Amino acid sequence: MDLLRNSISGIDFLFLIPVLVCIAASALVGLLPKLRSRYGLLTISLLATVGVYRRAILGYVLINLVTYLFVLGLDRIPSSSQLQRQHRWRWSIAAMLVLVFVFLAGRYYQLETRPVSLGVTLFYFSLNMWALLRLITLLWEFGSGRVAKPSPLAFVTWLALPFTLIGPILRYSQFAQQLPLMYGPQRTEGIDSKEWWRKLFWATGQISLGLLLSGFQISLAGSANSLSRWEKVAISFSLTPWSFYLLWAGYFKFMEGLAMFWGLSLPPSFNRPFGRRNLSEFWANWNMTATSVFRDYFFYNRWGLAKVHLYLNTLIVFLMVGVWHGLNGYWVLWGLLHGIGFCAYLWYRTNKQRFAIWQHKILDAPLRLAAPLATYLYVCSCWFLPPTILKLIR
Amino acid sequence: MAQDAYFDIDQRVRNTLARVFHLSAAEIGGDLRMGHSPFWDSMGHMQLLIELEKEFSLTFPTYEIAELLSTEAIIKTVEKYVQDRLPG
Repeated sequence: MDLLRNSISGIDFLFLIPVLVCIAASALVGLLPKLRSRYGLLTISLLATVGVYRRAILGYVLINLVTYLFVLGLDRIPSSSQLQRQHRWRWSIAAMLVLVFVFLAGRYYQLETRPVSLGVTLFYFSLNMWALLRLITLLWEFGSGRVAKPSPLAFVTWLALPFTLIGPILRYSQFAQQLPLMYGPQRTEGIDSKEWWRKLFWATGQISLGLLLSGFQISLAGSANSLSRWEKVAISFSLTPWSFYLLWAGYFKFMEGLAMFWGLSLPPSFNRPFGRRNLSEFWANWNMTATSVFRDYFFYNRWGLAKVHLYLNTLIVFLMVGVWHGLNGYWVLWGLLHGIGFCAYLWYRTNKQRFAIWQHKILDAPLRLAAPLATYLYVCSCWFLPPTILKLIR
Repeated sequence: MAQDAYFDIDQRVRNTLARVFHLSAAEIGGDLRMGHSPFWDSMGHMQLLIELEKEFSLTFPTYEIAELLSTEAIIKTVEKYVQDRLPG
């Protein structure tokens, strides 16, 4: 009983604000059909964004406004010839670099915590990890000619969508395809089905369990000094990964279910990542909407070189994913460890024939069982080891 | 003549796919997509890209790499670049 009480007292209930905002946004659209219009959905989206961003709303509006103005400017570059298209593409790359630089500077100087007083106290800078990725996808897709210039209405609705405000990523191309359906008659298809209820039920269960586990973890952290080293290891390999996974997998699944009220189909985010046989499979099923952006834009990239270098790309991508999480030694090391692990797997896969000698009927079954366990332990080690390594370095 | 050239591209793309993903002749017919072969994941995709660029002596723009997710898409893109290279 004490355990449960401690876990509940450790829960960060602020996490529930976006959940409640999204429930309200879908309920409103479900109950008031008149709101199922361009301006109705836009109004709810804007209100939801204010509800989620609160005092950071000024910063969020500013960064999105500047990006949109840049897209408008980019649109003035003609794109009828190959040379003109390249020109537009280069400008969008420059804009992406500036955005990344602004994001990193914001993290380094902690600009998100600097207020400005305009009657009420507001923060003039807000560019979180999800907003950054979302804007990068827009610049990429528009710069490459994959999507046409978004109208102001479509752009604002997209960036203010309640269900994607703190993830997952819905690329503008995916959103634009569905935009007409949001106002069409088929918009609530699938809601109230057995599958929909099952999804929502599981998502609620995952969120609740994730919150309880993270609350329990926080309550344990309060007594960290009295924990033995092995107890800390046990927490890092069980509570930490599962609380994070359940919370976010549940949250994203919940958003997928709620978005259906608006006729929106969100791409899946987690597909049972734990228990996968190797790091490649793990990453293909972990936080998929974000991972796919890093894969499509930064792994499938030649970085200006004549030849593609898989190992170099792997290290770059994981370092970027690390820095995306946080601009500090912990996340840089986390990215590096994942990069090294991924490179090792890549090397193994390319040189698999050399290991043919290990292929044996008796050895095969234990190896098949060991692979998911080894992958799980490696992924957890990447969360656990950086502080120890940093201590050793210092 | 032009049709022959396109048939050639089609066949060469399929042969490259077979070579990179260890597929048999029967498996490379039709529209193969990423994920259909266990070897065609993100790493396999990059290996395929390297082989395709070697095979056709071309360089895909970065933004196009993520779009080459099926045999049809690859053939169409390769045809576009080969055609651009033809004189006249």
